[in-house]
Amino acid sequence: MSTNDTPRHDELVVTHAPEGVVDPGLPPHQPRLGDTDPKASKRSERIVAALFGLSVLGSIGVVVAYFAFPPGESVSSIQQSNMFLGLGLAFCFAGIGFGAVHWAKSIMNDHEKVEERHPQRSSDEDRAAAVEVLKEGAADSGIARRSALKGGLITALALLPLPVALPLIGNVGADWDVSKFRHTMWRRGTRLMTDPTYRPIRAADVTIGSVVHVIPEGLHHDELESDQSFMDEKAKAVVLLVRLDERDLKHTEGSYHGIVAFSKICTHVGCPVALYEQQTHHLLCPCHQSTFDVADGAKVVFGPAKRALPQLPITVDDEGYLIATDDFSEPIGPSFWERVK
Amino acid sequence: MCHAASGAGGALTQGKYAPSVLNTDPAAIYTAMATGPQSMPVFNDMTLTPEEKRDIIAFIDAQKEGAPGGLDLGQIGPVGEGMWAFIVGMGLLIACAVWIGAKSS
Amino acid sequence: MTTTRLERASAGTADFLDQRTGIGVAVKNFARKIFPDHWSFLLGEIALFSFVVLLGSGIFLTMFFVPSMTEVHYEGPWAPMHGVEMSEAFASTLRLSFEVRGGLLMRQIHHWAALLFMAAIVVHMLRVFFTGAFRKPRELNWVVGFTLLILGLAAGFTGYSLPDDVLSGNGLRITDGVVKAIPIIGSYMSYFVFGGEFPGTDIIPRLFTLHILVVPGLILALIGLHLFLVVLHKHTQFPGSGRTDGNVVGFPLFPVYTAKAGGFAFIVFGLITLMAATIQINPVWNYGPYDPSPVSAGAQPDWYMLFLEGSLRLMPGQTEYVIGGYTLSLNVLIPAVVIPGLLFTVLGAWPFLEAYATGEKREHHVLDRPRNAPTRTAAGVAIVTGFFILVLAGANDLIATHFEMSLNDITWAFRVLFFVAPVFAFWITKRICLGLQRRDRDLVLHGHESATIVRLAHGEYIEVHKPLDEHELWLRVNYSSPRPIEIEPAEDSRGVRRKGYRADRIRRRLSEFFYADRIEPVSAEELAAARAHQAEHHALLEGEGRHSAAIPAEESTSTTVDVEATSDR
Repeated sequence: MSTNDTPRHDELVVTHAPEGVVDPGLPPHQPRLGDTDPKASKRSERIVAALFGLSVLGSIGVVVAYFAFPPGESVSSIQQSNMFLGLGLAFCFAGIGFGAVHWAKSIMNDHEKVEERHPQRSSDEDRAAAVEVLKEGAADSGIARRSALKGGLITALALLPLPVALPLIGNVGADWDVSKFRHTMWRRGTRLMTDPTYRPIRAADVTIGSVVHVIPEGLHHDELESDQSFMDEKAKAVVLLVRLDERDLKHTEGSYHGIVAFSKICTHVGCPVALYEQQTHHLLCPCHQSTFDVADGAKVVFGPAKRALPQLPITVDDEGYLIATDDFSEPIGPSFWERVK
Repeated sequence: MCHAASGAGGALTQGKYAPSVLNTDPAAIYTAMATGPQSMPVFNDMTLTPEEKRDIIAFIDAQKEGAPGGLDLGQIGPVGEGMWAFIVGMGLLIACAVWIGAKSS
Repeated sequence: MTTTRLERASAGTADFLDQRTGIGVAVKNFARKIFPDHWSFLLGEIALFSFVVLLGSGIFLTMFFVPSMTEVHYEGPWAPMHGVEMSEAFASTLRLSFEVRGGLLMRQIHHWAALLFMAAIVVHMLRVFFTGAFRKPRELNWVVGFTLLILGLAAGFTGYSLPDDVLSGNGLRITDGVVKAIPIIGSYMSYFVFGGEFPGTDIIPRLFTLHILVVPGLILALIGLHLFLVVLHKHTQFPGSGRTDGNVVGFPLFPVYTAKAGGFAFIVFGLITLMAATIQINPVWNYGPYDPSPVSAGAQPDWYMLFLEGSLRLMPGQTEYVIGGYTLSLNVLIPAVVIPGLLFTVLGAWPFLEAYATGEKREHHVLDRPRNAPTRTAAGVAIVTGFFILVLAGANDLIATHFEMSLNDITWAFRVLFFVAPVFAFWITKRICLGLQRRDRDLVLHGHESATIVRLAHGEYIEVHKPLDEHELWLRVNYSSPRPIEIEPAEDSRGVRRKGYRADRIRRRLSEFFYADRIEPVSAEELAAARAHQAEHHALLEGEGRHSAAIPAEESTSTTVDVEATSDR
């Protein structure tokens, strides 16, 4: 038994009050209505019992609702199933909860009690004993003055994460071929198709003020190569096609009689940019409000993006359908470290 | 898209906005798609066939049947949900906590 | 005395356990442990009980959710999706919502509980911050709690991305964009996260493992540690008479807190269920299965990620630079990495910062009234203000439509407010705290104003004050009001510059920031003088045959002449 038996909580107490002002101790206990009036106490008891009873009703309600309200096929039947199951369950929980709390508040003993604290710190004797014990253990281990043991252990432990981390991290990134970011499916001669209905687009059908969501020909489950992923390719290849009056376009290279095509992937952090304002020819990205001016090479006019949307150069083939003349001249989408290199 | 996933409407730049279409007459919606009023682009029959336009109107119509999960909070998405979680959820729970901590009469 | 069957059964069980575990000692020590009673101590419990709901509803969901990105065609009852191609994850979410009885209820319970979990953590953290409960010995528990906050964010983010819908899928695309912006290793990290190019087929299963195993495992372990430390340190308590750093005043665990906390648990369960029964949340069938092409106005993440969203929206785009052929996207890195990094570092390190500024080494178990720590309170309000501006900025398009304002104007306003509003909030909060301290001083010295003005025989008007009772007085005088720390002078007695002076000077500056602006607490002399003054008043009133206690006013007390006569500084 430690000789330091006296409760050390007194060490913890610090007074800031001016001299002469002393702690008056706990305020006097105020009795509750139920403590003195047996009728009030009985009433509290009945309320608690009723609340528990409400919980029972709720539980029964859930069982009944499970059978009585199948989800069905209509919005209202699903809504009813959700609501009745949920209300029953809610009452089941809330009844117990409110009942228990009301019991604690109105019936259980509410006299405040006091418990002493002790400083967190171990006593000096305990600390000294702990140090002794550790020293003894260290001496027993024989590690003192055996630097080969120490060094070897540390080296072995330090290297331990490597054989675990390497396969885990190494495999997680698939083929690590980040050069794939630089290219999309678009090639010279690839037809522009409507997204998602996959129809080729005649230049003549694109009226001024139109906006068309576009994917490249070949981006279809029946036409993809086995090593191509529909989603991965689509994530890079989506394009927005717009027709303006030719006179409004500041630069006409890559366009076809006022029809321009830009990558739909925002150069900020990659959301699709799809909100086109016909009258201002501004293209708004709803994620962070970057705004691009389609008439001026889709350069940024507001918001957190820096670079213009890459343009897909287009023309028509001999049947009048719109085709790309090349892939994008730069990687689409958000910037990354090696983007320009 | 511009009108939000539920058709409840969305913001555009410089004070413009795409209004809610939930209470719009189907013929008006069809016409709007075909003609591109104000800043709305034109969706001619090549871009969206008449069948596809009708599908869109059917989707908007289906919104009126109500929300399977209960009240739809204006259909503005996670921001509305978060706001109600604080106001209703935390509000009521804090009220309960105050009740629990208070002295019983 | 006959024992009932219940008593015999309980005794038998207790004996069985004790013979094998020695549990009697634990019961002796813990069953009647005292916990202090204040409603604000229940906020952490809201988080704890929400987490229990998340676990329970989550297990239900895992019985039906399929974490796979394999494409299927929908054949279920929800007509608008008929025949649509979608991932198995999305399809199983639809099945959960429309075909499993109680499935939609469980999904909604789970999601509302998640929002409440994060809300409760934040509110609880604010309570701990503003009352100074993070001071020694509880700094470690603050760090544990802070880590729980971060893990909660991870749990929420991985969770709402699981249904693989357009809204959360675009959130994943944004994550990819942010990851790619990291210098040098960004592209490789993008491959690491997605198992190749975006979106790949690995991300949903990976998020699923993180969401149901890794993150909840860590959260459970840390909650265990968090609660263990609360029991070890014993809970803090608000100041008041009879409460010291050396005791705990409250009610015993068994039966009072078993009933109150246990009851509150069921109330939390009940309220979450009520919300799930009546209010729709996350209707993924309206957003549609993820495809890289569609997007909608009103694209936001769950509320606890909104500060990041707002941060990304506010940053101007010009700050992307190409240096030597390499791209440095500060327009993405600053809002997504630097700002949250700063915020979390300040939050996580705060107890150590304050301890460094105060130089105090003793244990604190009595809480601070926020007015008595003006700089801490003001700094907390400033941080919350900044955070709130970012949250609002994340919803700038909704504000634009609701209040019919220009999106661009709102963005500019928030860009300015992000810097201006926290400074203003700091200044005004500090002034309010100091003002409240002055008011307390006034109360201590003079007592409550009784709205009674008495005209004495010789013409003097005095306001009768009702003195504070001993409990009210103790609350307002027994608080610590530290001064800025003193440091050794720069040069010693022989004029030699002292090593370590620079570090000390920084420490002193920090301490001055915290404590230079202070109200001196009431001293013994002032109190004695004030009491003498009061005694004079009472004597005069007695002399006039009036009671010295407050006399209800018969006429209106709008005669303001007398206010000047009471002491003013």
